[in-house]
Parts: sequence; C-alpha cells; structure tokens
Amino acid sequence: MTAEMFDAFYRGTVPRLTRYAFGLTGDAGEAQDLVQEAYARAWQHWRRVGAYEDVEAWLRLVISRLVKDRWRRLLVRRAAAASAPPLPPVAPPSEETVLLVAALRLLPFEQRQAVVLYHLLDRSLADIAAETGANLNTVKTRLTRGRAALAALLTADTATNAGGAHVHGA
Amino acid sequence: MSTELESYFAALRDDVDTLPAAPPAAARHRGERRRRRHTVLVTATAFAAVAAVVIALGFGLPRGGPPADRVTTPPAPVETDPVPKFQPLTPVPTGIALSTAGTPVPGTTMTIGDRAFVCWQGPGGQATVAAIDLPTGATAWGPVKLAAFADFAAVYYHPGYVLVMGRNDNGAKPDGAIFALDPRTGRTLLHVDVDSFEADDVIIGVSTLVIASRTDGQTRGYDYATGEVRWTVPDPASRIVHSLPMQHGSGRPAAAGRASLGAVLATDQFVQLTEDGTAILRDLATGVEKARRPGADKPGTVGIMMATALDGILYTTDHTTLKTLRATSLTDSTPTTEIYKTPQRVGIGPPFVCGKARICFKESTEDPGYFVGFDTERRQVVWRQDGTADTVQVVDGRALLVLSGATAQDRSAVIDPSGRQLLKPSAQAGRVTWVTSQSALVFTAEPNSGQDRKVAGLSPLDGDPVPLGSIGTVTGCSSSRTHLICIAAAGIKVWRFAT
Repeated sequence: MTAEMFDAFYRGTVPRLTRYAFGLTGDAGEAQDLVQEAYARAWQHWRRVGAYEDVEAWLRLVISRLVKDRWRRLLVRRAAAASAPPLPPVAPPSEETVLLVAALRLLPFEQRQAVVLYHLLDRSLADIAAETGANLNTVKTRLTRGRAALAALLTADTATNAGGAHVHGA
Repeated sequence: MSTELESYFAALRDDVDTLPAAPPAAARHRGERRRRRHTVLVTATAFAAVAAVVIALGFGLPRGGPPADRVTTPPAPVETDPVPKFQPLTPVPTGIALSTAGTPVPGTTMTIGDRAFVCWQGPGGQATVAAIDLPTGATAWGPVKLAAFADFAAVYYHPGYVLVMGRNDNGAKPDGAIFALDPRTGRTLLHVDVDSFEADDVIIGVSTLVIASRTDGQTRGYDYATGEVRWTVPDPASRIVHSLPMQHGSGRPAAAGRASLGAVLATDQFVQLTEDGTAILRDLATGVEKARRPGADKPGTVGIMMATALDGILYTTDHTTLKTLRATSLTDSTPTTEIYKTPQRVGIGPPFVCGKARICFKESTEDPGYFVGFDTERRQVVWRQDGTADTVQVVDGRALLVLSGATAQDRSAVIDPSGRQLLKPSAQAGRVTWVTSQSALVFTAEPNSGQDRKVAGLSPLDGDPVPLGSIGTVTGCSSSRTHLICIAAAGIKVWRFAT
C-alpha cells in the first residue's frame, strides 16, 4: 500500500518537479537526474516524509539544495551515469526555450528560483515567501528584478540572433 | 514585455512537459539503494586484521587497550570455522519494545560474538543504542541516547567498539557525527562531528578512525579508545579530494566468517588523491606518508569516489569519460597504465574489491546493466552478473553479491575465484548473508517491503537452502553464528537458528 501511494504521488507530481528542476538548471538530463534523486530520497524516508503536510515542497527543497551545491550535483550526475539506464531521446527544445534557459542561467539563484516558482509552477507570492524563507517584499523584489533582467537579456539575445552573430551554449 | 515573457515561459512549459519520466519503481529502487548505502558504510570486504583481532578476543569483546592496525597473525584456515547445524527458528524473548505504529522503526543491528547492538531513532530523530545478549535475550545495557539526527542513525560493525553514525543530510553543519561506544558498558568513548558526509571521507581502521575534512583541509586520525586526535595532516598545496583505504584481497570476513552488517574495512594504510591527480599512500596509525605518485588520476577529480586500492595498487576510473580503468602501483615506480576499456557507449561505475587480484564494477547503459568481475593480473573480465550490486562481501576469495535490477526482486550470487556462481538457482532469489565462511542465510523479500520475510540456511554454499521459518515484517537484521536479530514494529526480535 505504501508503494502504491508513493507511485500515485510520483505520477501526479513528477511533471511539476521536472519543470522546477529544468527551470533551475536549464538542462533536461540534469533535471531528470535531480528529480529522480529527490524522489529516491523521499522513498528512502517515506515513512517520515510521506506524512509531511506538503511533500512536494520537501522535494523542491531537496532539488534546490542539490542545484545550489555543485559538489552534490556532481555526485548525483556521476551516480546516475554509472547506474541508471538512459531515458529515451526527446525532440530539441524550441527557440524560445533555448533563449529563456540561457537567460535564466544568468540570474542569481534566488531570483531564478522566485521566477521559476511563480511562472512555471504558478505559486503565489505568499507561497514563495513561505517556501524560500524570505519575506513577501523580498520575494517581490527578487521577482521584479529577475523579470527585468530576463526581459533585458531576451531582448538583447533576440536582437543578436536576428543578426546571426551569437551562438548560445544552452 | 510581460506578455512576451509569458510566451517564453509557455514555450518552456510545453517543452519540459514532453520530457519522459522514469517509472516510479525506478525512483523507489534508487531510494532502496541509497538506504542500503547508508546502512552499509562500505560495501566491500572485511579483512584479516578484523578476523585476527576477533579470534584473539575469544568472546569477541575487547579486554584491554585498543587493538593494533597491523596484521601480525595470519587468519585461521577456513576448515576450522565451525559450521552451524541449522534448526527451525526459535524465538528468544527480549525486553526492548519500540514504537507500535504498525511498521518497523528504522534501525540497524550488528553483532560481536554473542552480543548484539541495536540502534534506532526515537522521537525527534534521537539516536538510541542498546546491547542484547543473544542466547538469553537479556538487555546487557541501554538504551543509551546519543544525539538527534534529521536523516538517519545506524550502528556499524567493528570488532572492538560499537560504532554509530548519525546524519542530518539537510544542509546543517555539522552534517552528522560518529560515536564509538564501549561494547561492554555502552559508555561513549569517542564522539566526532563530521562536517559533510558527502564531501568528507571516513575510513574505519581497527584502532584508528580517519576523517579527511574538506572544510578545514585537515586529515585526522582518531583513537577510538580515548576519542583523542592521534595525528593531523594538512592538505598539500594541491588539496585532497578523496581518501580511501588500501585493502587486502586475501582477507577473511569479520568475526571468523560471520560478516555483520556494515562489514568494516580494517587496514594499515590509506590512499589520498589530490586535485592535481597525485596519489599519496599514508600509514593509518601515524598519518606518515609512505609513497607519492603524481599522475595517478586525472586532475580535478571530484564527485563520487571512482577509485579503489588493493594490495598496493590504486585503481581509478576515468571520471571524465567513465570508460576506462587505470592502475597505479604505490609500491614501485611502474607508470600508471590503462588496464581496461569498456565496450563502446558503455559506462563504468565505481570499482570495488572482489577478492585477491579481483576488481568488480558496474557496466551500464542498457537496462538493467551488469556487474563485472575483472582479473587485475590477467587484465580481463572473468565474470558478468546482471544487475547492480549494492552489497559486495568477500570471504576467502569468494565474492558475495546482492544484485538488484530496475524492477526485479533482489537476487544474490557467490562467485568463486574462477568466476563460477556457487549458489543454486533456489538459493539465488533473495538476499544472502554470510554466517561462516562455509554457510549463509537466505532472506526472501526486501527489507522495508512490508512483506513477510522467510529465512533459509545454506551450508554448504552450493547446497540446497534449508527452510528455517518466517520472521514477519522486519528490517535491520544481522546474525551471529547461531542467532538472528531484527527490528520489528513491536520491538527487537531474536531467534535461534542453529546450534
């Protein structure tokens, strides 16, 4: 029964978690690895974690910590490379996604996290404040600055791309 | 721009939502492997030093000062190991009750001689330890409360001390701690905080505990008996990125063939890898440098340990391509050489010691991948087993593997030096653990599966399993030569299974 509950929870939440991880990392493979690692940790402690009021928030916390800690990210990647079968290939992302991902990578982590939670997961400002431990005004500031930076970066990238002179590394 | 920004995010959502996700069972299996990695500190062999010490101690508990790291007494011949005479499981009542929430309290057990040590987490994550005398079920000491940990706390095998490791794994500093308790009294002899279990390396010797801290760049050797720092070695100019024990392939298991949970590495030397790829061999008891080999590994080695050291040779996998295995002698000046290259598009996992002149490692890209035994002298693969091994324990050159695939039930293999699987098919389904060098227990169903687990005895190893009985829904089992101890929902359970 516990495994069934976990599986149902997994199926219901994995798309959102993948969105979150992709928004933070900008890399599909890395996002998939991080999401798997987060769920693996949840199952490892499912007796305790499964009783949490908001398990999905706990998973996002795990992903955030892994993204912020380069060392831990490497551990996850190496472990996945050494043991996990690869997932099937997917079509390349759209031009808009490539540009947005490249711009997101240039934001400080806190701004990127606020933008991703707001725009990709539809979290309210109050939710983001609660989840990140910041006050509401700080969240507003991060979001405003993040969006302004993205707008500037995307405008510049679009202009540069129109000239055909810039190659993105995303 | 706000509307334009929304269109970018909409495009990103559409792209991400097409990404395939692995099945939930894959995440659960990965979680189970994490759990086992945590509860089995080092999945490798136990060594002659441990066996020699335990044999010398008779009952198995230390009587004097700390045992020596160096091995001066060769292990006893295999034939002298007493083979247990199996009998149906007979419960032995114990006096320790745990939570009755319906599922077993997460916990671990280990045995030294006829005494078992149990560690579980109480309310708030409080690590708690107790000792039970197996023949009578009586509580020898405890419960002793140590400290609270957010993630897990577990007891690990050592021939002379009760080692407990607790971990927070929530970004807190310190990440956790290691304790050494006197097995006779439960008194705490050593308590060391560990800044980060993922960044720092911990090596368990018989008398010395080594922790290479990445926070302050110092490697320290601790005396279990006093808790004091015996020696400190600062990082060289190129910082240390990994520390690992120098293992001995001709070793015997802990406690004369009875490998307890968390088989410990007893060794007299260890190897440190620096960021520029230099290998430094050090004495475990003193920290003194014994040898240094530049170019042993590729510079910039970080992340999961991709090396092992056996009988004076360091084996590393190329951490950039995960395709090759290289060997560096730390006892002579032979240049580093590539000894194995995986087939095209196949990755190589961290290597383990699988016996004398035997390294084993995972090769994968196809599901479920396979585990490979490699002869380091002839430089060729000598066996392959499907799946990923989460436990590797070597007894007299025979490697016991517990293997899991992406979805299949665990299965076990005992591989002799020629590469032959010793277990009959009827004994392969389940998790096998050593009892003596000639006998084993076979457990059906995985720990934490919620299923009734059954136990069978196996002696000789290539014989038919002898059904011993059911042990219900339990976790954290270990055994002596005659008794089995596990953690159930209602409390600690002990059974006699042999005379």
